[in-house]
Amino acid sequence: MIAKIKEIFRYKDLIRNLVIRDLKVKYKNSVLGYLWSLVDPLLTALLFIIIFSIIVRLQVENYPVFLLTALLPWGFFQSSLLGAVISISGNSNLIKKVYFPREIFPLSAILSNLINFCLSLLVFVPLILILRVKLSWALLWLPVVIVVQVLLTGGLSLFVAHLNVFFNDIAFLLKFALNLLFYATPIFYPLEMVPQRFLGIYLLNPMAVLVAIYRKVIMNLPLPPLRFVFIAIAISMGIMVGGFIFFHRRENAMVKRV
Amino acid sequence: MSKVIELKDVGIMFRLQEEREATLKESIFNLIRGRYRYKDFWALQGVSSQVEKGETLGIIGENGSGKTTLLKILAGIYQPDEGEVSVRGKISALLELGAGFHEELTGRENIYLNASILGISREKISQVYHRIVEFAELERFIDTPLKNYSSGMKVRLGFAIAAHVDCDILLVDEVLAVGDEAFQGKCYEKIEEMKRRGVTLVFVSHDMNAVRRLCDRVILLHKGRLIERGGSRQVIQRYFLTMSQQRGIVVAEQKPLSLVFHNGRTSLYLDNMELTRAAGLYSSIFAHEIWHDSSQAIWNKEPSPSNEIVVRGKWRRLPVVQHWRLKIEDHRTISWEVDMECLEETSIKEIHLSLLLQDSYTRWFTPFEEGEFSPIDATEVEWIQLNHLSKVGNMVGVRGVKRDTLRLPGITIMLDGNYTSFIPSALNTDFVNNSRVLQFLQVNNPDSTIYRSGRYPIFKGRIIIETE
Repeated sequence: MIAKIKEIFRYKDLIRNLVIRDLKVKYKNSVLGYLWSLVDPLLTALLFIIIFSIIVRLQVENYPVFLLTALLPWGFFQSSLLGAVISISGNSNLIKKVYFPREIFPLSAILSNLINFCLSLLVFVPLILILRVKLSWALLWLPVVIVVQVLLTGGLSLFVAHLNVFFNDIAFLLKFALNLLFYATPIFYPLEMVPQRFLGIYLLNPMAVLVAIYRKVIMNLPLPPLRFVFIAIAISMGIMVGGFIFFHRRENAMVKRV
Repeated sequence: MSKVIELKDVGIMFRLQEEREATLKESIFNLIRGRYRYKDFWALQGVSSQVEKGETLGIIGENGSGKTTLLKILAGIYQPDEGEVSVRGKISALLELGAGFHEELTGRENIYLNASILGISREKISQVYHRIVEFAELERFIDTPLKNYSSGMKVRLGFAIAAHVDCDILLVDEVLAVGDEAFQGKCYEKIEEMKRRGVTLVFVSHDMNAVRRLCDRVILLHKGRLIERGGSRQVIQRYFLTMSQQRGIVVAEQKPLSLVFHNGRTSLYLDNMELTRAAGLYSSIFAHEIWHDSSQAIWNKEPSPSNEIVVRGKWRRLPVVQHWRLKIEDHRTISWEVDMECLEETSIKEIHLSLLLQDSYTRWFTPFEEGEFSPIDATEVEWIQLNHLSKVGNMVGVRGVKRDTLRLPGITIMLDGNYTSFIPSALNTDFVNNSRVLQFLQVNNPDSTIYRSGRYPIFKGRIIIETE
């Protein structure tokens, strides 16, 4: 595994090229260009604010910040997976003709979305100033949460990217699954609204815990019980390692089929 | 010498769907029905080979024989399902024109992109950037998007990158064929320069001249199996043999002899060395004042054992069918029987059966005479009779040749006792065919040229090859 990681590192220029290509393609022919990574979540947030703050009247303090602390990581999660799922099957031409570590494709899909995500975090700067959110030292943990999320996303990406080579339906299934998971994650509602008796199952969703941690880090809201935090981290790492091993075991069959 | 590439019993299997299961739905249905519709297809099996440092290995074979798959295994794209592969050293591969090129990017950007795909750092490629551009002769177009390049320009760029990457092993697939001749020459020069530097080369090509020129050793793949290895001359010979087999042409083989029948011409090989030349073994019919060769007839094969050729040919402009049976009797004898079937009454004046041989043969003989083949003049347009037709027997032959490294066996054609109407003779052809000829000629009496419809056994004889 170490050797593989070293090998991947040798191809860092390729990863950079692929990421740049991804970003260029994404914003090609658009007037706002990179600003879309900010505008898109803001518009979604505005929509949710209208629905849940004005119509449903959820009682949440600083609802815009509350929403964005979940929407931005969720957006990162979702677009990474949707990018990664077609990253192998969509590059069959290259994969069949040149050798390089194939993890590079899902990896660069995640990286380009990570860059987007980090840029979009800048939205918080004016919001926090305007809405006077109280920051805490917990903010220093932000990079750690992001790393955990990258592990989770990375592991899942390896699974779906692989399976989509064999079944084109995986991309559709994934969209549906992400839709479900969106509601099973405390994005537009607070974690406290989840009935206590379901919480044990609910918090097995690592994204739910991650969102709660983002809120702790940025807004200093209370964390779920610590054991769930550890479970979420363990699941994320497990999925990463599992995805990595799975991808490797089946790599040859995948290349033959792609 | 150290081995840089080692293949041990390498095999790779592809699972071919009969109907491709593109969707989960179909796949689930099939699982429920308890069957998967696929065929296991071994693209390669039991391939073993070694390449020493600095050596050039050629891989030849027809389309679909597994050449490119083998190259992809060497490049690390596929892992074999059986056997072992070990490759020591840095690889640069040129597998397909423009793999990894991006049409929207300029030549310059593509050099960097391609290098990154090959795992070369930006700094390293910058060092050779100018040499790449210069070699590809693209100075004027380097900032033009690739979509405006001709295919020749793309090959030039692709080859230039692969050749300037610092590597120990270069893999080249059938790509050079696209470039113009001048550039091809340049590529071969570059490859030879790399060989001198000690780079190991593995080369897949259909261009036998290039293979002959570049390769120290050649392997021949046929349906995923390695069927011949050795020097380029020998393997290429074998390649042509299997090629003709593949084209629905009939081959009879019994070591060390083989016969390849190809539309009324038959080539004769001893240990993969061709003894015949031009049309080889063939027949001709003189009617309506012209010769009608068997090579102009329409031939169909009939089922036969592996050491026999049984074919029937319908002459295009005559109502005549000939049935040939060529059988390798043993390691030195081939029997040849010809029946002629006239579909309607036909007038035939002469018939001959001939064997055209290499011009390296120098002496002919009959039971009563022996003589030297005269040299074939580059202006000679007639076939020249060499023996005296007055003294004939039932056989004619050539003496074996032993000269320097050349070894040609003596060949004799003996006529079966019942077919005395044929006169044996030795001839030289014109300069185009440039061959020695052993011929049996039958000249019909002017008053008995009519053949009624029916089937006539006309010829039976044996060809004897004097193997040592």
